[in-house]
Amino acid sequence: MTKEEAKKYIVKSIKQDDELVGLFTAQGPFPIWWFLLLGPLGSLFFKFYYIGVTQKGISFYRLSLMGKFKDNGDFFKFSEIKSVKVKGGFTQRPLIFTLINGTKIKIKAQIKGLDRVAKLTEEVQKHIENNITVVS
Amino acid sequence: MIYYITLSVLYIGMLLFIKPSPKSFRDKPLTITENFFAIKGSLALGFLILTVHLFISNFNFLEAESTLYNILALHHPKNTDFLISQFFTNTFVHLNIIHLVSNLSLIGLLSVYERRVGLKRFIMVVLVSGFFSGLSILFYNIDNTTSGISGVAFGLGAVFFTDEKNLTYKEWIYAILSFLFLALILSYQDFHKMQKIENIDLQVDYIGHFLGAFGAIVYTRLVRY
Repeated sequence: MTKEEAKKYIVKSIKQDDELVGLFTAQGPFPIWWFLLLGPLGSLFFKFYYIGVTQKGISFYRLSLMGKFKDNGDFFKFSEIKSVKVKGGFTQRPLIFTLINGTKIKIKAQIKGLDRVAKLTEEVQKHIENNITVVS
Repeated sequence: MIYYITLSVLYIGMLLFIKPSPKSFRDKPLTITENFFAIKGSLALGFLILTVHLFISNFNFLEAESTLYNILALHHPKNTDFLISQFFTNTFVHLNIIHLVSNLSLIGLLSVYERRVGLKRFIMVVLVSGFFSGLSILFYNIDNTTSGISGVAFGLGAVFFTDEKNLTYKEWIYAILSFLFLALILSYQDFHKMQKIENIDLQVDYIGHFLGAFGAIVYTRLVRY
C-alpha cells in the first residue's frame, strides 16, 4: 500500500471536526519470544502500524500480514496521552507513548526509506512534542 | 498414559496461557475464559487427535496398533481395506508419537487463524482441507495408506496468508506465493531430514500437503466472510 492510499483511508476514518497533520509507518517491538520459539518464522509475528497524527490526537492503525488496514484504528486524544519518550535511531525512531491509564505503546517510527513509504517528518514530530509532555 | 496426560496438559496449557495482546490498545488483556472461547476449535481438535492416538496405540501412546490403524487410516480405493469413512477418519490418526507431536505443534500454532475468523470457518477449513489432502492416495501405490493432520495444518497455514477481508486478486496471488515460498522451504528441509533416516517405511505425503492447502485456499476464496 502506498502512502497516498493510506492517507485516503486515514482521512476517511478521522472525525469531521478534525484535520490530519501527517502520517507515518511504524513497527511494533521485536517479537523476541516468537523468534526463540520458531526461528525465522517469528517474523510472521511482527506488528506493523500506520500512525495518523491529527490536530486533536493520534490514531494507531494495525496492518494485516498482507499490509492492509484491519479496522478503523485506535484514536487517542492528546489529553488521553500522559507522556511520550522519543529516542534516537538511524532508520527508525523509537517512540514510547504512556497513556493516562498506564498503558504503554511502544513503536519504532520509520524515518528513512523508500519514497512511497510514509515517514515521520520533523513537522509531525514537533506537533506531537508540542501537544504531549516529552520525557527523557 | 503418562505421555497422553503430559502432552494434553502441555498443549491445552500453552494455548490457554500464551495469550496474544488485545486487538485494540483500549482493550484489557484477554482473560483465560475469553482466550478459551477464542480458540475452542483448536483446543478440541488437539485434544481429539491426542485421544484418538491413545486408543489406536492401545494405551501405550508410542506406536499405532495395526488393526485399529488399518480401519481408520486411508487406503487406496482399490484396496480391500478401503472404507469411504477413511477420507474423514485418516486426518485424526497418527502413526507414532513423533508424527503426532510435530502435527500437534503446527495445529497449536495455527490457532491464530481461528482467533481471526472464528470457530465455524475454522471447522469448515479443517474439513475441506482434510478431505482434499486425502485425495493424494490416488497418486500412490495400492498398498499405501495415508494418515495424519498435516494436510489440514498446511491448509490452515495457507489460509492464514490468503483468507483476509478485502484482498484484491493481485494481493491474493501474492499471499499464495508467500505461503508457497514458506511451504517449499519447510518441505525441502523436511525432505533432507527424511533422506538421512535409513530403513524407514514411512514417507511424507507432500502431495497431500499441497492438496490440503489447495482445497483450503479455493474454499476460502469461494466462500468469503
